[in-house]
Amino acid sequence: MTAASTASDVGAPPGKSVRRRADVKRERRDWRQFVGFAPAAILFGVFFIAPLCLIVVYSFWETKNYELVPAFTTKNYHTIITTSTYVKTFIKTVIMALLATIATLALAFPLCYWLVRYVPKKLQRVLFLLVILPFWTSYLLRVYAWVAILGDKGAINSLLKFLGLTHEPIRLFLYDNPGVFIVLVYLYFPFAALTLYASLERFNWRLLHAAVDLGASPMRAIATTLLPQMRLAMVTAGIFVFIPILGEYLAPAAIGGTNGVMMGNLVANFFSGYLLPLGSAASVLIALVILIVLILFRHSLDTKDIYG
Amino acid sequence: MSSTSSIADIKLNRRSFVLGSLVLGAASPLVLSACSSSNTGGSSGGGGGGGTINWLTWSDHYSQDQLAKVASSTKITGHPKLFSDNADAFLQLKQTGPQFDQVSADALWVKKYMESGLIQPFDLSSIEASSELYSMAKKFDFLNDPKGAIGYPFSWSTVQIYYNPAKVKTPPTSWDSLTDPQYKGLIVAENIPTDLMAIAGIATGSKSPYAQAPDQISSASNFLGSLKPNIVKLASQNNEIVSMMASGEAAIGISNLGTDIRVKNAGGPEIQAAYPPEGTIGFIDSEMITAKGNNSALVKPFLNAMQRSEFIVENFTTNWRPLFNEKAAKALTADPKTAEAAKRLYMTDPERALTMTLKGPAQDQQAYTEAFNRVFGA
Repeated sequence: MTAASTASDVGAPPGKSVRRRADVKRERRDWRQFVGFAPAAILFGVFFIAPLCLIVVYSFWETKNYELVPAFTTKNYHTIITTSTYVKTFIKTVIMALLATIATLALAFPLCYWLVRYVPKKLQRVLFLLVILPFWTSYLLRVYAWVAILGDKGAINSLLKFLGLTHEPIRLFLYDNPGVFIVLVYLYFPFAALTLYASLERFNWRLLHAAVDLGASPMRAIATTLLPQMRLAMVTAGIFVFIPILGEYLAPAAIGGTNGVMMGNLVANFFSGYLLPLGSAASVLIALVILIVLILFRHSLDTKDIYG
Repeated sequence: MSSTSSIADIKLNRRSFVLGSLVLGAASPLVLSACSSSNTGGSSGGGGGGGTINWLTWSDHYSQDQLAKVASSTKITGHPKLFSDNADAFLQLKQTGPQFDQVSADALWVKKYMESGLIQPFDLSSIEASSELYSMAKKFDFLNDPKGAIGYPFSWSTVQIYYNPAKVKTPPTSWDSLTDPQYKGLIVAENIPTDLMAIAGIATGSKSPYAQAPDQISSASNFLGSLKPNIVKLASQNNEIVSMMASGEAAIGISNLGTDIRVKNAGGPEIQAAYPPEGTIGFIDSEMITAKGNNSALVKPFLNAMQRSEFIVENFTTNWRPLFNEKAAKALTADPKTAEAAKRLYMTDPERALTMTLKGPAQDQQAYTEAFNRVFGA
C-alpha cells in the first residue's frame, strides 16, 4: 500500500474503512512475503556486509604491542599509499588482473562463438561440459596441479626429457609472473565462457546474415551486429573474472614465488602478523578499485540499451 | 490486485534489500555470541567424560592415526586447526575467545599468552605422561609461572641451512653467504616474516634478533633485499620446503633439524646441513591450556594420552626433529634402526636446545612485518 492510497482513505465514507482494513491486512501479508528474501538477505548481510563494515572500521584502528587499539587514524592508508613497494604491488595487481581478464575473454569468446555457430546442439553440451569440468575439483587442487605441470619433475619437463630435448629440467614460467598469469587465466576461463556462451546462444544470427547480405564484411558484420549485443555479457564476464583476481592469494603464493607476489599476499602477511588495521586498509583499497570498476561499467550493465 | 498476493507484488528495491541485510548483519554477532555462550555449558562435558577439544597447532604435533587411537581410549576427540605463524595463532585465540581449548606455541610466545590472560597455569605433575619428560624440560623458566606450569614442553629444533651438494658447487657456510648471486633462485624458506627478520638480524650482527632497534631493522631489511633474488619461494608450511628440495625445485632450504631425512624419505637427494657460525634461531614448542576454552577441562587427560612415549617415538620417526620425552629417546636409541638418527638429531641432548636464540614475539611486530613486506612486495 502506498502513502498516496493511505492519504486518500482519510475522511472516506464508512464503506471505505473495510477496504482500508483489507489493505492493512494485505500489507501485513506482503511483509510476510519478505521472508522469502531472508536467506539472500542473511547471506548478504552476515557474510558480506557485516565483515566489510568490520574491515572498514579496523582500517582506521591501530595495533600496539599485539593489541588492537580503537583510535581513529588514517595512518594505515597513508602508509600504504606512500610506501613505494605497496603502491607497486597494488599497480601490478591491477595490471595482472586486467591482462588476465582480457586474455580470458579473448580465449573464451572464439571458443563460445565456434561452439554456438558450428557445433550441433547436442555436441555443444558435451563440449561445454569439458569447459566446466575443472569446477568439479577443488580450487586448491587446480592450482597445485600447475606446480606438477610446470615443475622440475612435472609433465612438461618429463616430456622434454623423454624427447631428448633437455637433460636438465628447465623452469618454464613456474615461480614467476608468467606462471601466475597462465594459472589465473586457466582458473577463471570457465566463468567467462559460461557467461559468453549463455549470451551467444540467444543471439539472433539472422542479424549477422542480414548485415553480410547488405554488403558488410564478416568482421564488420560481427563488429556492428554481434558485439554490441554481446556488450552486457562481455562486461559481466569481465567483472566475474577481474574482481576475484584482484584479491587472489593462492595462485601467486603457490605459483608466483618471490617474483609473483600480488596484493592478496601482502594482505595475508599483514593479517598473520597481527597487523589487522594495515591489512584492512589494503583490503578497503582493493574494494575501492572494484567499486570504481563497477561505477565505470554501470551503464554497460544496463539492459535497456540493448533490447530497446 | 487479487486477494492472493504474488511475489511480483513485493516492492523490494535495492535500498530496502541492503538495509535489511545491514540489520541482519548487525544482529548476527549478537545471535552468534548467544549461540556460543549457550554452548559453554555444553555437551562436551568436564574432565570425567569424553568430548571434543579444539586445538590450534602445527601439522607436526599429531597424526590422524594418533588422534583416532586417543579418541578411542579416552573418548576425547582432538580437532586440530592449523596455523603457520605464532602471531597468527595468538590473533585467532584472541579473536575467538572460548572456541579453542588447547594451543601450541614457540618458546617465548608462551609468556606472551600468559601476560595477555589467554592461557591458564596447571600442575604439570598432575599429567602422568610428564614423568617421561627430561627433568630439565620441566624447568624452562619461559614455560613456568609462580602459579604453575604454563606450557607442556613438546619438541625443539634449530633453524639452519640445508643444501643439495649435487646442485650447489660452493656450499653455503653462513647466513651472509646465502646472499651470494651464485645461489640465485635456489633457496626456499618458510613464509614467517618475524622469524626471517630475526635471521636477518642475526646475519647483520644483532644480539637481540627479536628486539631489533630501527637501525638494526633497516640493516636486516637490506640483508633480506640482497637475499630476495636467491629465494625462489616462501613456503606456506615446512613440508613444502621438504617437497621442493626433494623435487629439485630448490637446492638450499632454511629449515628445521631432520630436513635431510625427510627429503630423503620423500624420494629426494642426499642433502647436507650447514650450521651458520653467526648463530641461529630455534623453537622450543609447547602445548598450553586456554583460559576460557569451553572444554579446557579435557586438555589434561588429552595431553596425558597424546604425550605418551609410544606416540612421541612415532612423531620422531615421521618428523625427525628432537622432542623432550626422555622415555621415547631411550626407546629410539635402543632401536638400531633409529639410534643413529636419534643421537645425531639431539634427541638425547636436550640441553643443546638452550644454545639457540629462542623464537618469540617481536618487540615491534608492525615494524618487522612492514619491513618484511617492503622487501617481498612487487
